[in-house]
Amino acid sequence: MKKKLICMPKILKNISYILIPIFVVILISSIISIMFVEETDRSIIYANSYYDTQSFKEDYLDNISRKYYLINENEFSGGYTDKQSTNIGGKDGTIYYNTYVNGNFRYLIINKKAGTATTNLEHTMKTDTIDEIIGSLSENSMYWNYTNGKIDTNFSNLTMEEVRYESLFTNSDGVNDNFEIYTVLLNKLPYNDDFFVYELFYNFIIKTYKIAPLLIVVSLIVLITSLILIIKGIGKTKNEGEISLNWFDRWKLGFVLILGMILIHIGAFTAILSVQIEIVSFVAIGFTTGMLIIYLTLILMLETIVKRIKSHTLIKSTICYSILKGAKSVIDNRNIATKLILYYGLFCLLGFFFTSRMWQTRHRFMYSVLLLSLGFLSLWYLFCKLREFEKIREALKSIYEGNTNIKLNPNEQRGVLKELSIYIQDIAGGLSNAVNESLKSERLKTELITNVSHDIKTPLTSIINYVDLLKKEKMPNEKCTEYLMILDNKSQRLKRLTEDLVEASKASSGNIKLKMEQINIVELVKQVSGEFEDRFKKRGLQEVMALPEEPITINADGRYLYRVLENIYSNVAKYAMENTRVYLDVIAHKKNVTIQMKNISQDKLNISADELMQRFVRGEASRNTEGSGLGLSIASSLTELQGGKFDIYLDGDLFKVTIEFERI
Amino acid sequence: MYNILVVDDDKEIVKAVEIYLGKEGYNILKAYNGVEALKIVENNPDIHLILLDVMMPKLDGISTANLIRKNKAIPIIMLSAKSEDYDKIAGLNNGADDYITKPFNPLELIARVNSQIRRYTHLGSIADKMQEGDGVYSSGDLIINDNTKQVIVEGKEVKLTPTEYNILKFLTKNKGIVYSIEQIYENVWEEESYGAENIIAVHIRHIREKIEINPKEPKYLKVIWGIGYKIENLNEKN
Repeated sequence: MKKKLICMPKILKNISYILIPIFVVILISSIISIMFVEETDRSIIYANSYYDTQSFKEDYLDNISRKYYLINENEFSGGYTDKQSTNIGGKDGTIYYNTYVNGNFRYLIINKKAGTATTNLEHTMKTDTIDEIIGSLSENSMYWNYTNGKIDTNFSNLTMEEVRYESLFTNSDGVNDNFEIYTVLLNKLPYNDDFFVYELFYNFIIKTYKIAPLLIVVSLIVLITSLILIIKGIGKTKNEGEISLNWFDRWKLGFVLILGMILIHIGAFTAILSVQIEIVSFVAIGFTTGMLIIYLTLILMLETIVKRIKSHTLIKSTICYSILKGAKSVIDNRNIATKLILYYGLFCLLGFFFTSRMWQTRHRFMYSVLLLSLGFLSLWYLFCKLREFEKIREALKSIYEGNTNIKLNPNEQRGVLKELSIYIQDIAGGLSNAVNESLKSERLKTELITNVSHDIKTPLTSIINYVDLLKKEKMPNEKCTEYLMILDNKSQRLKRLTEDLVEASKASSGNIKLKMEQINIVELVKQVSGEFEDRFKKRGLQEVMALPEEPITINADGRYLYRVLENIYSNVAKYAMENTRVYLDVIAHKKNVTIQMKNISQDKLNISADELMQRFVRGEASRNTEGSGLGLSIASSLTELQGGKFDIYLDGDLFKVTIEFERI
Repeated sequence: MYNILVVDDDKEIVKAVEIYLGKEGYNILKAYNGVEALKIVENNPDIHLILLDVMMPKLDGISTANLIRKNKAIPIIMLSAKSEDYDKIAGLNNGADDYITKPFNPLELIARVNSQIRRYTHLGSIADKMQEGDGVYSSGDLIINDNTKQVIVEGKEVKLTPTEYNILKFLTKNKGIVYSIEQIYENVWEEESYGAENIIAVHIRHIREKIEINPKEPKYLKVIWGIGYKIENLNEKN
């Protein structure tokens, strides 16, 4: 990939920074021109020049009246720079030259009665007499004179209101002949006075007003675009997707804002100060400098804030956040008791504060509400915690009940409870793995046993068949017949053993599909008893049955429940003492039914009931008799698989098996 | 002379089967895997029964049975060490007519072979003679003639005691329906059942031992544990 040498967004951003002030000025000017025309002086629209406008007229007339009053009240006396004796209205008089404050407005006011004249013209060789002064004034195009009680002016469209100035110069006697006033505006306005500024302003406004709406739209578009470009461009580097933060961006936001405020104030102060100085160049430089300072400060602030937002550090860099985070870590690292004390202390403190305030009459209501909300808030908080606690309890209960698939999200909780949730989740995960592992290994074991038993069965088939064929042959002597009988016996036993082994492993691992049905236990017992009648008879066993009259139904898989009973009966048929009674009782309780079988063992039972149920353990130690030793183990596993209880009691030679099922 | 094909990869088992069935007068053909079996079936049009092992090299028993079934109606008995229910179901669903688990009882093997041969060679011949009705009740190859009090299973007459006969007649008359011990007692003895205990169960075991090839896996008289007994309805008609 080519490495970018220039960063386009950054260039666009910098161009925007330059464009913004320009267009802000354009925008403001446009708005001002519209505002000025609409609000202050609509005559501008129709005027041909500045001198046609209402504002000009008002300014000019205002100047006249001010000068007139000053002179009339003799308030300027002594405030002259020079004087000259001359002939005024045929008498000896004095001309006063007052050039302290001079602008484009020039006047000559003659008081014939007093024999004085005032002017703001410079005292030169050409302005020694009244006539010379009038002559000098008349070189200018704009004039407004008052002579012989009449106004003479080249001002256009003077309204009645403006003519009222006339009355200033009339007294109660009628025409005021004592005064003659000559005023002019210097051609081309060489001085930087109000008129000069206003003319500039007028020219500017008259130019911008017409295109102001367009300018506003254009400048708004440019400004918005620039702003977007700036915001997009901030923080962009040559490497994409990376926000570059400098040392300044890592300052606390509070400090940055304070610094910004100070800089903006300095800028504003500079601008305001410079405006008050009446030197144009000074004003321009000072104002511009002030504005520049403000503008640069704003750029600085904008840059850092946008960068912080983009890198998601705005809130993190606030002082408040640091303080809260510090406080939180201090609290979080305490143990639960300290935390409780801290929370409780805060609660008490707030409560005490609100309560004490309640005694003051003025804000009683407010503090009652605050106290109440504090109470509710605490209750709500406690309730929330309790609910989280309840969730944890549920999860623990579910694990306790053996369901390791718990729904607990530690991220929903905080503090100690979150810690607890994480621990519990870990335990559940571990437990679940262990259970799965053991299930898997149990399944593998069953599979192994099944496969091995298949492999054993094939050679066993041959053994059994050839033993059988051999039995049909004539044996050379008695011994051979005896040996053959042993072979026959053992091969049959091996057959049973392999079958039982598979069944035992399937039953104990629960690898059996049950088909649960409603079954009459009384019927089943009769059926099984019928199946074993012959075998019992052979050993002289007498079965004594005590069955309820009515059918007792339970929920079980008939085939497997038959296997359970078959194993018990077969056990009795094999191991009960010959010529004894065997008792079988079906006892119906309200909710349960118990099947109980008692018999006297032929051999001494010197092992515990638990051991008896273990696989491959048989009552006698020699293991000579038939049977695999798996019968009771299979019966017990199958009973439990179907939801029943299987128990064995040994008392001397009394052997008792009970099976309990729930009735329907 | 009937021809029986015995297929098993264990040569000793094939030999043993040959001895047993040879004594019964059958002619034995031998194959040691599925492919061989298919060839023999193709070349010998008059094979009357196939004994087929399931776990064999090259081509297993299930696939072999499937292939033979495509164009032959020869009875097939599966002979397998696999004794799970689903193994038997898989065998029977793939064209086998019967399923014997190893290690097998030679007598049971012979009985089942005889039964299949009878069915295949004179199927329905006796049933044709004795029509249902007129005191004749039947289910598959179990026929009861109430006029002569004869019970014939797969062509062989079976001797029953009067009580056993009455129970079997009642169940065959109402084949397909499950009756509890109490119901059987009341219907056969025609009096209220009390203390019947296990008498009926004992009789039914005796009947099973007489009419079934393997009383522990009965074909006709089924035990529904905890509910009762029934004669399976094996009549293909209806």
